[in-house]
Amino acid sequence: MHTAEPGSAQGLTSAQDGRSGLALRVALFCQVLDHFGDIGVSLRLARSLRAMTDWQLALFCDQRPLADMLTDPQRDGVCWQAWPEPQSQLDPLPDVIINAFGCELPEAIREQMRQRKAEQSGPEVLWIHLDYLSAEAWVNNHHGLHSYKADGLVQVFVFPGFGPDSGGLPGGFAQLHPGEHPTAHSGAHSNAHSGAHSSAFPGAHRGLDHAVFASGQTQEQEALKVFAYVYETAALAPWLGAIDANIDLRMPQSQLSPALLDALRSCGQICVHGLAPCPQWQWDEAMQACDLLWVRGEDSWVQAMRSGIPWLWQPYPQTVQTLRGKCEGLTAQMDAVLEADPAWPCWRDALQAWALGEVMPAAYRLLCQDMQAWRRLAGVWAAHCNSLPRLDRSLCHMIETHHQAISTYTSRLCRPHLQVSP
Amino acid sequence: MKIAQEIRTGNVIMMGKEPMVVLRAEYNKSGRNAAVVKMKLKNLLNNSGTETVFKADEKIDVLILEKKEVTYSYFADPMYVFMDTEYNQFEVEADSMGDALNYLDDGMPCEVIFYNNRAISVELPTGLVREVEYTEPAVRGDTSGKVMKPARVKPTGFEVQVPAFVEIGDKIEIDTRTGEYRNRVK
Repeated sequence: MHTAEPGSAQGLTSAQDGRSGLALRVALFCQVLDHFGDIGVSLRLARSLRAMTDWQLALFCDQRPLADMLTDPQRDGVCWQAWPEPQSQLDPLPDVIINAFGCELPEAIREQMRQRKAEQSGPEVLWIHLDYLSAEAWVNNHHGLHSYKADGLVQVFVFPGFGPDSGGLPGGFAQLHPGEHPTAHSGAHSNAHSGAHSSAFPGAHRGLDHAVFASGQTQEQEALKVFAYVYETAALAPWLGAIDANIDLRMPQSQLSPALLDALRSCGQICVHGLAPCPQWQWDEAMQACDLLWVRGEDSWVQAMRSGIPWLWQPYPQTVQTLRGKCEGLTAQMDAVLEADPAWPCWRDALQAWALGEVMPAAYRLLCQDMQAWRRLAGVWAAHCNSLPRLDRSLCHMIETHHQAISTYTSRLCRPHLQVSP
Repeated sequence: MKIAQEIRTGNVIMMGKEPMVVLRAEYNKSGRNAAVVKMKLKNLLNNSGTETVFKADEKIDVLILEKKEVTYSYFADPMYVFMDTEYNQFEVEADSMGDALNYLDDGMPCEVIFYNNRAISVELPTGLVREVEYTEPAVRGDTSGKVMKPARVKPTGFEVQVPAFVEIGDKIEIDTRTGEYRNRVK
């Protein structure tokens, strides 16, 4: 799918990826609001759709260099295009347009959709607003609703979530390389349960990380490997300091501020590694190799939940009331799965306190003293998450249903007039 | 034009060429400071109902319709009856009242909205003061206002989330657009 000036005759190289020109054409638009999460979720979804379907995918990102850095075309099977110029139209207009996280579509493309609708020159585009993941109950009765725009266009809202009526749970290691890579059910999961990771930080031997400093004598094989991707407001040092073990901390280099490093020096036996920017699959491997995950936002949060490795989550900073709603939505979902486990109240208290930026609860210290129990809980929750309806499948179903309508439309156009029998 | 989060129960918006009265508008924060508004609508031409959703900052075409200041008088099943200062009565169907039913009180001032000379809905003030009929006592130790609990308010029994320090008999101001607690009134 190409962008073209309005009225230009630039055609679509329909077999640009070696697939049939009849394949459904799907365009996904992603605008970066902050850091990697927007692209991360979009890339995971695109990779999955690519693996599950023969659709022709076009991915547009307003920060293409960043998207390219996260994407490994060989492994992911997808590549990105630059964000269309304001006056550029798509040639041809895709069958389906997905706006990740409700980003705004370039006006010229909206005009193209309005034109298609007004002239009835083809089937209407299925225009999807993909929203953020939330565990709150309201997403179940918002998912799938149509939004009627002032200019006459109609958009379908997809709300990812945990409930059967939501748009399903995004992400998943299982989408990386079907049939060959670690999933929460296979090697990585069992490693997480045993706590015995055979490999060191996988990035290390690829030159992805470097030790920033080591305080005391930390033996990598004995240390608790902690992955932290957090917002600046996170009180990481005191929470790490409460863990009674040697710590091998892996964090994105960009987050290792002098102030944080100073604070980390007081955490006892700790070795800090800075993780360089890397493709998403390496990021995932880095997470998988750890014993404890501190994650944030959406993409790393979902990966943590699916991994079976103990985790704490920091939602995007918003008002306390909003954060509380997000957090309570999640713990309500987890309550239903984990309430029988005596260690769950400790994890729940730690989750809430960490997510809301509250004082570290005593329950967190108890949890850290019983990592086996935490791993057990994380494993049960991961198994539940990996059994939930998936966002990629939910979207596939929605799009296939639309495609059937297109086929019916097209076959009606091609079908000869019916002969009326005498 | 208004943005979606400014739309209130009783407003009439255009959906394509159809005038739709808003029976309920539910505001939710989705993520990263983005928000959505789900609306329950009734078509004023054929009375059919529908639900829709908008981004909270999305522009929506709102019809400016005739309004009249009234007070709530009484319920004559299935119509709610309102009266203006000249004792003219206006009837609004129960299923067009939307969220206004959560706050309805005898003599309550509001505005009746007309479409083609027909009273089609009521619009409430954005903030209303109501007395707390029942709420659980506060748990000792947390008076920060961060911890919320449910409270039932008079006279409808509508449930609002309030800070832990709110007690039975307190008067609280409620935002009628969102159904959320605003503050305690002395």
